[in-house]
Amino acid sequence: MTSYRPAAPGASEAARKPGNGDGISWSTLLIRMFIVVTPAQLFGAFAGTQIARTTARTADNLISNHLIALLMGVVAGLAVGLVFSPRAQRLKTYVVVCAAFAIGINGLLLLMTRVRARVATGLPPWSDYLPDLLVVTVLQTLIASGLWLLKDRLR
Amino acid sequence: MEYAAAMALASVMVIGLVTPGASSDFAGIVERAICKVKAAAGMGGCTGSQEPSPPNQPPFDPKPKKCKITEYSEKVNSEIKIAFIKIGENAGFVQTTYSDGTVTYTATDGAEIGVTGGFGTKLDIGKVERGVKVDFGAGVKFDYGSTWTFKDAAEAEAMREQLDEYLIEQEIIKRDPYYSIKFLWSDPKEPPKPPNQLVSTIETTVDAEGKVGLSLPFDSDPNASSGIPNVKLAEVGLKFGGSGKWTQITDTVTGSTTYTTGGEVFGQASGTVGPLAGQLKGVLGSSMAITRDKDNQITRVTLVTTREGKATSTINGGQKDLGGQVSDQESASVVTVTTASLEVTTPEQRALVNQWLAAQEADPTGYVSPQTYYPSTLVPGDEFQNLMYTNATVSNVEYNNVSDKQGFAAEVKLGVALGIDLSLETTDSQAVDATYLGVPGTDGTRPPVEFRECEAG
Repeated sequence: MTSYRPAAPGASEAARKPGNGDGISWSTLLIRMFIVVTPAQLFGAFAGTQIARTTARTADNLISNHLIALLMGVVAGLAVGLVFSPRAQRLKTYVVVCAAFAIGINGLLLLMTRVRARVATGLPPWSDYLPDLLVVTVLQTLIASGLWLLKDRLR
Repeated sequence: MEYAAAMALASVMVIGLVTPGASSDFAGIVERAICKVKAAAGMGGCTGSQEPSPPNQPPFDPKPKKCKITEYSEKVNSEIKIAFIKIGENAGFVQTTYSDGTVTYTATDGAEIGVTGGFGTKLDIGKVERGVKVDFGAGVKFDYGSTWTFKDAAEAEAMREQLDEYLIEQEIIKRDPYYSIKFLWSDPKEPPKPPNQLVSTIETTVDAEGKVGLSLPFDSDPNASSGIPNVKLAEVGLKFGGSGKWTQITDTVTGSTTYTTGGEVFGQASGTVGPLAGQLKGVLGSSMAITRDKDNQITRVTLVTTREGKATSTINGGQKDLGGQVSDQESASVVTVTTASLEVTTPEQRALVNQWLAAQEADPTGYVSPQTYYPSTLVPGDEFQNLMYTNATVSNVEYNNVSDKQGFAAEVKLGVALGIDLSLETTDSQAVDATYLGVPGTDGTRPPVEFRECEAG
């Protein structure tokens, strides 16, 4: 079993500060999760909106009403699952952190959306986001967890 | 390293959050900077910043500024108009193109568009009176009959595309709330600009001034009850405003307001018709429009009449077909629309127009003579008629194959009431002859001049 091992200086630092019991400190884990999840969700959203826009011009119906959330969750789950390699005994911790970041980053992006698009009319109410927020969280966590388990078996 | 990356990422998000619309502003800043550099380098700068050259036109150009050449109606949701969106089923525009290139869109019920059951099917003045709203969906609602004016077809098309884009975006957001997350990197689509013209109706018989807080088109002159000086009234003509119903068109750009009302033939029943009986007998419909600026000063008087028969040169001469000689097979299905428009520019003209209007209102025998709504000749002693003769632009457009003349005339009146020209041409009928009155000649007449821009084809 191997764990995520950054470059030598980082590794030695993590080794000196065992926070989450997986070789890296809590702060490092949170920062890395932030660095990975945020652009991954944004990329998924970008791809989703592009597809939604294109299909809106040509198709009778959108491919899926939850297409954007679906892509956000998939891309972020793949990114987190590929970047991190937690030990089996720490998997639950990573899953919780992953889920928390899925919700947190998603909520942050939605908050920024509403602030930035304050001039726009017709923005949906917060409650309308909840199903998609669930989709993102579940997908991101499931895919990441699946990858972690797969990587663990391949070790 | 990771801390630095996290800080950079957070910074990007914060900057993106606190600078909404930066992308669109940035383009403008760059454009203005390029303009300044070009101007400094003597390369001409930008066209938008150049001062327009002052107009150099003759004091009176008898040629009407424009006339309608085509018109068609279109639902908002045609073609790309988002097949998956049930928008526009009850909303649409009547698009009218004028000879000077300007285009107007008038909001109407999409459900009625495409119906070819004769005239008046596209727009209904009753819906204006009832204050009907046209719902384009996604919260975009406009008053029935509201009109947008564009300088050309491209600008009109851009507005419709903007509306489509806005409706599409709003519909996607409705179906997929997460779509709004794209506003993190792009600006939301804006709904189209408000219409240039808002239409409503007023009743002058029910204390409209107090009711709607607006001045009536006629400002009553307290000294006018015993007759109006310097106004010679003809014995027969058109009486306007008798119904007490007026349409009020508010121009949201200039702040001007145009009041329109229909006219009725007056004098025939009394047996005083005299030599002008022919012209009045042929009148199918008439309208008068009074435009006031934001300071409530009269700026324009427009008289529109629809008559049976051909558009001949003058009222007094060569008019055998004018006046409802329906027995003539050639002119049996011919209708002529005459539009006389007087631009009121000086205080003296304004005073004269006010006197004339006061006579229309206060004097039961006040009416508009044929020589006034078609001022091809000078009538000595009638100062308002003389003003129309010397300063009004007058067009005469003849349409053939008109099967429903009354409906045709009703549509003309409706168009005047809504501030637009409506479907005067159909698949069967079209403008076959158009003239306008030229500058007054020394012989006291205004000769007709060919107005080919208004003819079909």
